[in-house]
Amino acid sequence: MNPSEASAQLFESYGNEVYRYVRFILGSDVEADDVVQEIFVQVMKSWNRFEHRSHPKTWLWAITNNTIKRAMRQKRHIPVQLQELRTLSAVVQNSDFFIDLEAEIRRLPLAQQQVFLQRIVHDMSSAQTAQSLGWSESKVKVTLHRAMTHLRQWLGPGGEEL
Amino acid sequence: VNFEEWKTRYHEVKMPEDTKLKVMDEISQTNVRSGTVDHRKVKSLSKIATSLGAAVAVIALSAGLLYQVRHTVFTDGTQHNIKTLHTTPAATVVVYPPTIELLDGPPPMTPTITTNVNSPTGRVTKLTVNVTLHGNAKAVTFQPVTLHVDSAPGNGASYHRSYTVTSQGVHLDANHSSVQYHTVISVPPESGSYTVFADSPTYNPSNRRELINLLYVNHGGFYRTSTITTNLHQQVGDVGVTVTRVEMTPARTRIFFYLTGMGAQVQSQPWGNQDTTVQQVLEAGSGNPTTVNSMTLGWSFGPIPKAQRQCEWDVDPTRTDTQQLKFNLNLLIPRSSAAKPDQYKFSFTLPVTNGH
Repeated sequence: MNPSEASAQLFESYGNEVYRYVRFILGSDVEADDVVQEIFVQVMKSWNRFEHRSHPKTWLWAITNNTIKRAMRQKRHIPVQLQELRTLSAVVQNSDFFIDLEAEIRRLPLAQQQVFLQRIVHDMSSAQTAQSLGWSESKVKVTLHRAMTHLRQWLGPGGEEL
Repeated sequence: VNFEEWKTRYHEVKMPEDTKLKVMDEISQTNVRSGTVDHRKVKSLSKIATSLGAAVAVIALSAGLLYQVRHTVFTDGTQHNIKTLHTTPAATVVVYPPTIELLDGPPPMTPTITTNVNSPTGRVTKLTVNVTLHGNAKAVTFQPVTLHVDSAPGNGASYHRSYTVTSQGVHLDANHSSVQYHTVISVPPESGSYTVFADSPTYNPSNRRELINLLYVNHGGFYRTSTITTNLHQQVGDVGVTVTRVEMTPARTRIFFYLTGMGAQVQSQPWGNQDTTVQQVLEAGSGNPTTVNSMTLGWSFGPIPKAQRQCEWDVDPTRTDTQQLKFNLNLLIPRSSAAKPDQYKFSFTLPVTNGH
């Protein structure tokens, strides 16, 4: 498979998933647009160096995390405002709760946000998350524990479902 | 409170069609080509591009290199955003997009544009622009050539003026590999230094400008100062002199200038201070040079991003002929803390005439 085909295939399989994650963390459609494009160009450029020691999806997530970090550094990313938050949650029943929950997740340090989203929202394993972030599994577990503790406290009595 | 419901909503977010199309478009138009280059044979990305025979290329360097850059090389050999590669391991270079037609045979020719000042006099003077084709014979056409006159930094009021050298594109081939144009330029009456360079929109910006520092001494005319580009570029960068200011009083003409020299590579090396000796030699016409001053500047290249040393020199007020301020510059550059330093010698001249 040549790099172009590989990138197209990964985009087809995981494009939406990556998009959701990037969009949530950056909190901006426009930035997400650019960063997602950059991610898949990066996939293409790096494909020949990919040693297939991990699943391509995990490798894609590693590129995603690195690209997000770079984008935030370059653009001096400004945390999302409430108005933008509203665009992320569809106006549905419970929308106030959704908005508040998203805001609370975003108040977490970036590392906790990433681990929470990957492990709990995207249902990735500890090993996959660790590989994609270049961390040890124990660091993933500790970081996730901190994020969960904070969110459970915030959720109150209903928090045990987390 | 329903976290699972939020999670479901989260996963309902879909990428907009526009974004999807944009990404797919980018991917489908991009075709990666790889090649390995030996860093010892290349100094710049442009050369990597040409060594791969890329006609149109955006290059990204693989890990292990100092730079991760994008670089565009056009069919006529022009290039943008050049970054010099310093010594690194052999690199894998990825070239895209697919519109690249990989060429066999010699790399594209690189024409050069040079600008010469022939006996410049007064505020208005005639410059010669040479456009020359190098390498194996192939035809190259590039856009009209423009000559620019800019005030040098620190020269007081900013001044920029452009002159059209050719109103039409210049075509060079094996039969006509060189062409010369004359252009008359002028600068404002203020004394100071000005840079002059010729370029063309499609011309290789790395080579497009033969930078000439023109020192204009009021009533005295233009004088060219030399900037030396050493073949030691990776070690010491360009070494040269930049005139920053000319002070004229009834009693004297005083020229302020910097000696410049730096190399990005230097900053990362554990080198100590360099002993740099500068001799100012005053030459009277074709007569024997007389050393008028000698000083050790003790440049420190290490942590200083751009080593500069301001110097002053008074033009001999009793003389009316053209004098040459000649610099003999010795750079002692240790390659490592243990190694014997290498010595490099440069010399360049600054012809000046007393403006009084």
